[in-house]
Amino acid sequence: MLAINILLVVCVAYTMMLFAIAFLAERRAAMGAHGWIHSPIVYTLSLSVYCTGWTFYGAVGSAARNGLEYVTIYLGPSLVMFGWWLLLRKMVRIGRTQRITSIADLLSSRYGKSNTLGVVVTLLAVIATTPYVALQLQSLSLSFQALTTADGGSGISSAQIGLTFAIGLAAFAILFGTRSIDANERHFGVVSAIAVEAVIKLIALLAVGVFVVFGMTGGPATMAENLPAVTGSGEPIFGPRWVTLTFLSATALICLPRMFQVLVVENADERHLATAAWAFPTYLLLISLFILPIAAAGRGLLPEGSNPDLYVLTVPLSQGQTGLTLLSFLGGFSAATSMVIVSTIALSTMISNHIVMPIWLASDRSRTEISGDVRSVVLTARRVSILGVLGLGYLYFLLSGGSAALASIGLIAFAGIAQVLPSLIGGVYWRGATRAGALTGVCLGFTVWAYTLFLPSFDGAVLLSAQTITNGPFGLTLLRPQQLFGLAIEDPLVHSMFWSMTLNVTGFVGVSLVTRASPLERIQAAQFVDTFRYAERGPGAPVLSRSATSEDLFTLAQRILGTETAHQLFTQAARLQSKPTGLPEVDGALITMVERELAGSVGASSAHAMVSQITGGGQISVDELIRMADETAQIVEYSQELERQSNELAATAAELRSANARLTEVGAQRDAFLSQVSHELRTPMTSIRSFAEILREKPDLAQEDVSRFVGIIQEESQRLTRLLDEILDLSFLESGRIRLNLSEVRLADVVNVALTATEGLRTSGKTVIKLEEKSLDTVVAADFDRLAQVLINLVTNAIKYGPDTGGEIRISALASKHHVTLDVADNGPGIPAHQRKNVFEKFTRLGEVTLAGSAGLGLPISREIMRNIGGDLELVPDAPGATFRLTMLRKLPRSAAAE
Amino acid sequence: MTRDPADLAERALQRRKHEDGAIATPLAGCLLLASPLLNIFSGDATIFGIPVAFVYVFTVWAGLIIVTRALARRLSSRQTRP
Repeated sequence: MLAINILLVVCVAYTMMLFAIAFLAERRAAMGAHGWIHSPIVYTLSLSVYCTGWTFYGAVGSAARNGLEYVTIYLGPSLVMFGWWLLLRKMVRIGRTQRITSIADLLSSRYGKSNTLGVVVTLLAVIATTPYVALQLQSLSLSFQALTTADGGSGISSAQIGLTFAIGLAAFAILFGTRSIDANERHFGVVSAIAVEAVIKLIALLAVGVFVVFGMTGGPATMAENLPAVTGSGEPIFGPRWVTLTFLSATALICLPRMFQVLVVENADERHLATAAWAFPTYLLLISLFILPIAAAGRGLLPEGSNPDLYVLTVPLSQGQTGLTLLSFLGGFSAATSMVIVSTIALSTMISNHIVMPIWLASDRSRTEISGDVRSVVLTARRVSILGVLGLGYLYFLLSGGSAALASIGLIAFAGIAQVLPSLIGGVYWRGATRAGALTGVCLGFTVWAYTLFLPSFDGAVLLSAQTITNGPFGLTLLRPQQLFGLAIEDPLVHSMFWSMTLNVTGFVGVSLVTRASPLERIQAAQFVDTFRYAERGPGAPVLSRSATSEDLFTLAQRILGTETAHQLFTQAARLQSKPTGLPEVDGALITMVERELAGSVGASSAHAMVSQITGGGQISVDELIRMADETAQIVEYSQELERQSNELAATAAELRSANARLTEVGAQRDAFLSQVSHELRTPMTSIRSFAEILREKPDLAQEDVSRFVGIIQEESQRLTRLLDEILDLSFLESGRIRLNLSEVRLADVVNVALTATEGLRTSGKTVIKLEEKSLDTVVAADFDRLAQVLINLVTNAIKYGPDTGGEIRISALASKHHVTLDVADNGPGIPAHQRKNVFEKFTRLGEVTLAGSAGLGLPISREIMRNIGGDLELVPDAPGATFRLTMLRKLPRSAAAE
Repeated sequence: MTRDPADLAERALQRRKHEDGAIATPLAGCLLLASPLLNIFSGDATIFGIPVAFVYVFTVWAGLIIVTRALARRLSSRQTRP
């Protein structure tokens, strides 16, 4: 037997060592020399808080009672770790990007920063964890007593031992768990101490196991004889209970507050997960490897009736291995203390962020605006919470200490916290999950769990009487807690899990389907479900648009993060906005960033509430909503694409129709042109032919007549030639194949040429030309001869259609920056309105007046010429008489100049 | 250093295979360790005095650890690629 003094000294020395390690780690971390604290091995070892005192002692007990079943408690977490790529990686990423502080915070943040959900999950966690903490205290005091009182009692009651441990643990948790409010809520000291404890646990169990298998008399051979007795008599291993236990333990790894704390919150680097994915299952495998042999040895060695839960201690003790026993005791001590420390820290974070802070904020709305440090409030809340949780645990231990009920509390606690799982998985993978759905699911599952498993576990001592448990409330047998709706499942754990999970999932999915998410929920849903996509895109994530002054924001940040951190944060933000000094511009993104940083300290819902108090509620723009709701975006995009395509088709069809119309029109024009041309050609041809016939058939014509007829034939053929020349000219002009000799031309020169050419016509009709000489003294870009041709044509027309006597033609020019216009106006009757648009048509003659030599192509040819030299020819509307306006470029177009 | 596109495509393909493997491993684990398959090994049979179920569970467990380790190394070594 061990002297109580030695045991106490060892305990105190060990505890001192833990404090020293935690202290050193904190100091190193504070100096920035993270080193081994940041290694994946420490991360893996810290995950071993999964193995509590209950698993350390209880697993052997379970193996002694139920054979291989204990393995499920380690297999479940291993399977989850094997699936790290699928779930844990995403959770860790979300935890980092959203600054998640606890499992309650994760759910509250995902479901629109709902504090109700945070409170519910916190309460659930406290209710499920408190008995578990009590269990650790019990295992500590049991193990202590087993070593000291085996031979008659040491005089120390288990209550005193429990109280001592509770106080020591509270001191450690408060000292290293609530040292400061870190922006990312990591506790290097705690994690380092946990890692050391993990090593002690493993070494202790392995040492006892190796001793049992190889060190004891008989060695492996005796062991082999004893083993089958433990593993049972060939009953099937697999069954509902096996599945339930595996599922529960797998769930526990994700959902237990302490596991979430070490797995997600304390994770310093996502890559550590890749190592933990195989290293942690290895740890679990090693832990569970020797449990069966130890159980077998205990069954073989110790007298009937000794507590199998303490075989790890009593087996080496019975062999006189004092050192080994002490090591084993330290292993159990480590397991229990690490669990209690991390659990209380995790719970205190949850309580302070989801219960204390909201109450504090709601009690006085003006508090966020006045200055003062909020951090002390948070820290005090956490310290009080740690004391509270440990106090509750101790109370629970005192009230139910030693009862059989406590032994099974481990699995019951797992089952309770497992009610969070559907909302967690749904929240991470399913965009459509809503706050109402999550609340319904968790509450329903929690109620069913309490009714069918938790309360009956007290055997009628709490709330449900023994009578009610066996017969149902008010004699309603349908509602018997352990045979709900008459479903007879032998194992109460399986029964409870079946009902609670079924109703939980049904409630969660069903209510999610019929409720609508708020804008904030949608934003959060998008950020959770598509966390990898947003991380790749950087700041592309949607934000609420809110407004505040940067001073207000800074004050708020300062009060929670501390002056230095807040200063750094805002300086960095200002730099990102390329502002060298001063506070950054406030926009939705900055407010979201600040809120996220605050969430790392006080939880998402409290941070949201605080920021909302200075910014107001905030709006989400329709664009953001659409972009965020990716499915909607895809649908909208798809329909927009369809619309675009149909618009394109419609446009193409319209183009085709108009092209067709143009073609038809051109065809009609060509037909008209051809018939015009043949008509025009026919007239001179007819006269030529008939005069030629007369000449041939009447050889006795007078010489005078002959020469007259030959004159007509010549004249007509000249006209024919001219007509053909014009047609040819026009076709060349229209197809743009004409060769133009563009140069700088003085208008006055061209006008002079034109006037000289038309002098004969003019003098016969006595038409007067009025020139504005001054305006004509300008230079334009044109082909001299062609421009002259146009002017001759216009002047000729003016003479032809002008009044018979007193005709007057006015020629003037006007120069603008790029163009020169030249007007040729007559004082004739003008062009009737209905004919104006036809004057440029081919073969149009005005009225029935036809003068010899005019085929009606003059104006069309003129206009084509003008267009070919980059100008135009128009009829000036509403002018007295007929006024034609030539437009010309002042300078040669570049392409023409370059030629 | 410019890489051959075929090489890049091959690497992308390999990575996709590893990702699929990382998803398949836990599913295989569930099938092997939490399904009626286990009952094949329950019984009184022993190997060197150790019950066959015990040997089976721990062997599969160790196998899954080795597979996960191989996949995790390949996946995490390229996790930081741009």
